[in-house]
Amino acid sequence: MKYSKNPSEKQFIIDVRSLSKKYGDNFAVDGLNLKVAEGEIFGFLGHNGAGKTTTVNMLTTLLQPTSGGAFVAGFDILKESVEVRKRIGYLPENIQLYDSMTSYENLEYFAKLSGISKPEESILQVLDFLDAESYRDKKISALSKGMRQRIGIAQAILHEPKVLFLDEPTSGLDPFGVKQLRDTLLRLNKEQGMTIFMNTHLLSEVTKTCSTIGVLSHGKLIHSDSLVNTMKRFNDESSLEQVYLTIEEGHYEK
Amino acid sequence: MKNSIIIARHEIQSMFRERTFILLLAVFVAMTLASAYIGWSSQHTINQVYTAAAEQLRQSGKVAPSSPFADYPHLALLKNMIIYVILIGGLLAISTGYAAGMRERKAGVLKLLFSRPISKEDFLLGKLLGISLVLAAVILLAAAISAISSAFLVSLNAQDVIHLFSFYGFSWVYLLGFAFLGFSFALVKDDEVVALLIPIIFWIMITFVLPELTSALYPTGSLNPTLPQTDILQNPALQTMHDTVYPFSISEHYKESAATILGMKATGTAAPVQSGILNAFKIFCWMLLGLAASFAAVYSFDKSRW
Repeated sequence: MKYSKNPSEKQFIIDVRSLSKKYGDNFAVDGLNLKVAEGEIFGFLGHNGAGKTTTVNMLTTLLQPTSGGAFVAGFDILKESVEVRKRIGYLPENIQLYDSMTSYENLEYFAKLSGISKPEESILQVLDFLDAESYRDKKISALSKGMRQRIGIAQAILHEPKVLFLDEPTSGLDPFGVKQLRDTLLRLNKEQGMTIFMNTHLLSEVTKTCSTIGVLSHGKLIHSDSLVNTMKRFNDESSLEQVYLTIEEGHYEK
Repeated sequence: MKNSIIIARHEIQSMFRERTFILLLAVFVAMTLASAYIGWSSQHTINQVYTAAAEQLRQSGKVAPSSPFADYPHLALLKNMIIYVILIGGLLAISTGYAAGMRERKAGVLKLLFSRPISKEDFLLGKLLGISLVLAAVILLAAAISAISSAFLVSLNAQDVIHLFSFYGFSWVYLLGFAFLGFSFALVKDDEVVALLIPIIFWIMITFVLPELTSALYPTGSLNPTLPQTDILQNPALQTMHDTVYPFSISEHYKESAATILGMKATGTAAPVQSGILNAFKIFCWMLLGLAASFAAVYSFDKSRW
């Protein structure tokens, strides 16, 4: 399948080109160039305020860049935003849904907005995949954080997106919830070939889930490579945490 | 358009789960139920007073003049509804628009919603359609209640029924202006309280302040809240104030047009009232103003913020 408009880069499902977002005099994202291949689980690392969420907001077409652009699933985020959104799933940090409605009603609403003609069938399949059938008729307000997260993932994958964007998905989850989420992401990637772009702080999760990583610092990409290559390159370091700190510190010294 | 209909349907479903909306709706329905009886009762009392006075005159050998209320229109018994629409209906409309604008913000799903393949136009149309249909349902319910209760008290003919539904249709247009205003401020104002307060200030200005500077200047203004009955406004300063403020006094234009639709007419000594068509046009412009505010709000708000 062709994803990039540029034939030489067709293997990249996410192709970010000099993407910038400026607030006043400050760059939240500064000339970001990034490529993510189809089928990867990409971990986007960075300190608080590094620009990870701003990047995801731009790639999901929620936010207009100041300059530059990107192609997601072969479509321009600026000129073909609706086409991009048809092909992506999105799970924001601290997922919120309509509290007064049941899980099913929430999912039905998002399914219809995603253009799914038979929502019931898709919802039941997704709830089954996530082992969340028992939440079907429960109001969102009655669900725990972990349960909500699962319904949040359900809404993000209902329409079988090519790329799933997750913003700090483990935020606020207990260890059991984190493990469940990890298993789900790995299954989605393995069974459906879904590309996953994940903003995260949890380095331990990155080692268990991601195939490639990018490190963002003060709006600039300071490292991007496969996890294996990254660990090889910094073979003196004992853990990804050490690698991450070395990369970050190296950048600061520049 | 398909997405707009999905959003509108969701809006209607959600609105009828809102406690504030249900509470205001209950009050509005109760007042609608009461209005026909109150109107009939006051008219009945006036007729009884006239009959007693006429009887006294006849007993004292004098000729009683014919009743000035004999040809009172049937729908005059609904004249209290004009005030209820302005007071409770206005608040209900603001509450409806505000809830529609605030729903995604409060739920924290605005980003999620706009990550789906919908445009701001879909969102705007869906919300406006949802608000309009919710208010149309409220108005239809009130119209049905008024028609049934009036039919019990007086004999309504086909023309009366047409006028009754025209009155409620006109009231719907008037209320949409408030609803759209409530929706607009809910989208653009960061502070939820301020977002609600601003349309309520508009409502207070339109409902109380402007009429105080116009029709309330007439000595009989408080006796008949729907149409001024005298033209004895002779103070030039008051006259100037009236003439300056009156074109902007939306609730008065509504009151005058609504009263005319219900068949009530100013008496021969009435102060000059603008033509019905011009008044109705102003109410339509008021609704369009709210619509324009909604468009501006939707296109200016940042969907990545909430």
